[in-house]
Amino acid sequence: MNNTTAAVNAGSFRDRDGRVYHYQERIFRGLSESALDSFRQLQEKSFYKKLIESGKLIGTRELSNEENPLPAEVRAQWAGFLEHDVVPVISYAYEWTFSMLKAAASLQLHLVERAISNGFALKDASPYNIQFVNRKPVFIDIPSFEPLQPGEPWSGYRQFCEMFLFPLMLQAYKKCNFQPFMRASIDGVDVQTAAAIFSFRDRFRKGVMSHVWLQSKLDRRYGGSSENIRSNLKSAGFNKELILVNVRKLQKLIKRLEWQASGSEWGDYTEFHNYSEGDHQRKEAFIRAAIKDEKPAVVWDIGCNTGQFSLIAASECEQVLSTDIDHVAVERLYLNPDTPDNILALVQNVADPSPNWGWRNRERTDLQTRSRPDLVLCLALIHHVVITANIPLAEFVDWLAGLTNKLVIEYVSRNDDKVQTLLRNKEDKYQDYSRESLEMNLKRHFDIRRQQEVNNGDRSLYLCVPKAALEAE
Amino acid sequence: MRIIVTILFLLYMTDTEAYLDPGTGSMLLQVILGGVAAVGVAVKLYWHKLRVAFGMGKKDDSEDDTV
Repeated sequence: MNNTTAAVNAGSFRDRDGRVYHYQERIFRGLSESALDSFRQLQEKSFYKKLIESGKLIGTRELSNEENPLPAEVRAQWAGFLEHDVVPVISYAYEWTFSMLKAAASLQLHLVERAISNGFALKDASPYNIQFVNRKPVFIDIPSFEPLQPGEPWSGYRQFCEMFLFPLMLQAYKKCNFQPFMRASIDGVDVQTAAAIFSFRDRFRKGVMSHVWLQSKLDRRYGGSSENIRSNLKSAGFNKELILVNVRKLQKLIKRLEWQASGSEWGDYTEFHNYSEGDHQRKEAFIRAAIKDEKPAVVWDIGCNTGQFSLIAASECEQVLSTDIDHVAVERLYLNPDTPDNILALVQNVADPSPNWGWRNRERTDLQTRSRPDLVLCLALIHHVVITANIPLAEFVDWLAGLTNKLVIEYVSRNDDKVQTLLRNKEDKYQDYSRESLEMNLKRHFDIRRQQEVNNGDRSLYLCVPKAALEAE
Repeated sequence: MRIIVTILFLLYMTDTEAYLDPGTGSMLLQVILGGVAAVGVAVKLYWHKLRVAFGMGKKDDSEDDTV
């Protein structure tokens, strides 16, 4: 994207009253006449100002025509423009942990409660309208706020159930990871699916009888109805108090949902790590020196486990993106009060990463589109990718080279306990898994600036830099 | 209270096509979940149907009674 084209955000198309634009590393939003009017009303309200101040809403300001840098043909399409603060890394609900989705759900309900109490409605209830900034959920879709029409029910209730409540219930009540559901279905877990999943016994769990079972029954009964329920509700005297009663009950319900993450093979990793004290210090020192010397702004720690090395990176760079296949490990990293604000922890499988999907396969994008790492930490991961996930070593290194030009990678040899465990009960077809093979493949893309053996040579660390770099020094 | 209201809704339980209008059931559920505060609303919504059910009115589909 060059500086003279304003790129339309490919995820912003459903709303006819506005569109998001990326331009010169800034975020702008064009608004229609009616949306602009709603925004100007909203802006005056003290509840809105408080939400902005507390950081629950993304920083937003209206731009005058003079301040607006967008090209003329874009400016001509909309009645007015807003500028929003930029979110460092965009993430999606299917990459979040249970507690992240729960925090987002609480924020959503809080905003509905604040809005309704002050004469406004929140049009949607989608986790895609919430982003994590400095480890806290922030609502970014400001035009969702609209003046409340009297007698109107909460139009976002069903969506709230399908995109927040049911996924959280799946995790809390059935210990079923919600991410695959959210990743496969852009509208979340629909009411009939939820009803099919929750058993008779589940109906005795808090919230299931009303929000799952009863909603699915009413859905079936009234889905094809020709009655105009909306206007009937209005003339029957539906009022915002009913919405507030429901919202408060949902707030209590969400608060009580807990997931006791246990039984994960990685969640307990830090208690069983394979290194002696000395080796662990050597590894930490190597990583710390690499980051200090290479000065990356953005670091990815893939296979971060509980984040011990992400923490080192975070103290020396602007932004760390820590990913791991294990929901439990990432949840721990997120919940740990010592985790610094510049770490964004996400659930992600290197061998099965977030795809480009949704409308025209661009509505939701892969991680590489949303974040470019200056340096990647690939520690104690390669044996899982090659042996467990069966990815050829050469291809994995090719992928790393496409992702970044600076890399710290750890080779885990066949003598290591972990590799022995992985190879047990498997036919050893992994001729490409060897130190020589790794070094040869690394050298195709990188220069190896530094190397360190740990665990008596069972594990080796490599600092890889762009090929030309050594000559330039 | 909620049980009575629920029973009244369930009196007319037949399966229909949910995909045509997925929001309607959810809107009605908000009335039920509104608890005591919603009873008045629920009764008004179903005043006509109640009268038919108790044999006090004609079987007529018009919904323009605003009570």
